[in-house]
Amino acid sequence: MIKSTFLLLEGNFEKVLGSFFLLLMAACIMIQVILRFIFSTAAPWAEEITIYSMIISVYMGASLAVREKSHIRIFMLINRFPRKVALIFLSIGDFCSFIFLSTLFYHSCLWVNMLFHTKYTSIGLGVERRWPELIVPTMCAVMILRLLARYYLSFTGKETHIPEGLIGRQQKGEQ
Amino acid sequence: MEIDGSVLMLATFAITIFIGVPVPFAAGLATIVGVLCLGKPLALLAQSAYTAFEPFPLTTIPLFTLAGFLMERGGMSEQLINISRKLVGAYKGGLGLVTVVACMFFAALSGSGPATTAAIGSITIPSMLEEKYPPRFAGAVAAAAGALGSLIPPSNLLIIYGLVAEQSIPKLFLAGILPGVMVGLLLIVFVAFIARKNNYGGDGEKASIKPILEAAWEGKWALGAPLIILGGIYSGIVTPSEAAAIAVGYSLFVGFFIYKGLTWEKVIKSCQDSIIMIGTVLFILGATKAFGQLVTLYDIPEAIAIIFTSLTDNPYLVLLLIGTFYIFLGTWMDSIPQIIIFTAVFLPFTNSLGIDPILFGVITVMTCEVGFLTPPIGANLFVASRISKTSIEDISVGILPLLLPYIIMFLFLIFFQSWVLFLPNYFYGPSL
Repeated sequence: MIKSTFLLLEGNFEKVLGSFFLLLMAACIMIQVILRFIFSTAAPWAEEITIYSMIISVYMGASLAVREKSHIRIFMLINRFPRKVALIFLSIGDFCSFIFLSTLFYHSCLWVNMLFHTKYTSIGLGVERRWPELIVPTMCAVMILRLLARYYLSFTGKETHIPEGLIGRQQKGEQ
Repeated sequence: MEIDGSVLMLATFAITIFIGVPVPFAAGLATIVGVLCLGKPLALLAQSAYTAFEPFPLTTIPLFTLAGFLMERGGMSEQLINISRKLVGAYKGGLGLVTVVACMFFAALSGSGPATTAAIGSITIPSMLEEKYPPRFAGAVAAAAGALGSLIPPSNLLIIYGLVAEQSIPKLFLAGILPGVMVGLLLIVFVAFIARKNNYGGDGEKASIKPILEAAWEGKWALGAPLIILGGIYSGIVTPSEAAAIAVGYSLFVGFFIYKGLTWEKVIKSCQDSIIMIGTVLFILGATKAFGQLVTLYDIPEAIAIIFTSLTDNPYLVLLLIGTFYIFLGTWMDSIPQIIIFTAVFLPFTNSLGIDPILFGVITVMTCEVGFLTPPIGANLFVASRISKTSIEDISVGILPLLLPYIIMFLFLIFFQSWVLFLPNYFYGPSL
């Protein structure tokens, strides 16, 4: 039961949260239009929720793209190498991604930690800025886990860690 | 020997890109190198990873993307194809022409080239194959006409350019209309010529006013969408972001209650596809915002200006050189990262030469269109090859003659500039 719930969450949480915040974004902007035209009033809270929704959707999408191996990559050069060499390049590339995400995670933690020692309240909802900014280190951590999980699943033979566009010379010739 | 930080930064970017690091992470690593060389704190990167997504107009892109998916799945693309069939289906190569005209209509609903190719191509390519059009031609027509989605407003690429270059998005949209429609008309001429020469497709039922009007009436909800979306923006009633949200609401309403093509499963699928799109394409802004700041700190635009002025200071030739560079770059780089990174590099220089930034935006997007259509990173080619079940290489050959309308328009934009700015200047006055 716990395992199946975990698997369900693991497989879908970015899709569900991302979709929810995307639709929330559309709803908030429409509410703003309605309020302006019918009630001649503005809603600063709606604009703020829209921006938070936008940021959350982007990070959910970025994490989902790590899981689905759909981030934009250029394989033009490494596809000219034999498949084995191409796979080594892929792993080096993924290691570079790991370094970037780890650096961003560390420095965004430092940054958010600093925000916890300052007062920076938003105008519309009165939210302390530290809370929405937590999305950056949180999702960096999730993306690191997604990246590691891809290799783990590949080692255990459950899923490949190789993105669709990576072919390598040998297989290209075979096709 | 001391190595210049900017050289190290650009070298890191080039090397990481070529070993297959995802573009946003490659730009992020280059930024880290650049920041460290300058001796600045990496908090710059952490801040921009959040603040890059705060500009309100950015919401336009995911919402127009979502609206495009909903319109495609909700039955609007079928209606547009039906109208196009009645308009041009009777001519030789009619289905090719139908594809171009339907893509022009759909481009006025969607901001994305690949989305337009998918929306129209998924219906017209199988029909063309049934009528024994060669798969190479069928896929190439859908890919070439689908690229109009990025030029005819609303356009995601023009929005991104507007945000990076700090230019008015409605003005950019207005500037994109005439070149977009003219490329569409040129495509019609080229497709008709190729079809007639090679005897592709049969003659359909003859065009007459009554069936056209009937189809237009039946498809009024699809034809009405651009009027509401773009009319709202140009009249100043709504901002582009609000128009995009209204487009989502409109496509849900029409998809559920008028054409009844939408189901909740399709809405969820559309949301998920949009999420992936913004995660792969917009995420790059987080890393490149700091990258753009570093480009300025390292005086890279000045260095570019020196290189170019040593070759020429003629604005026409400069635009020709930059455009050619963009086309070359577009063959291996996705358009949105290309616009984000290189607008920061080239715009200060073109401004100094007195080139209108709105015109430069349209030229930038036009050259990116050509990139969309050239391998190895031609997003439209991937979509079209998947639908037509033929190889990218095959479509790449088929598309060569259909690149000519884009190249002709690119040259036309450079050497005859005033007509491009006619609409934005007429409605909003000339740029200062």
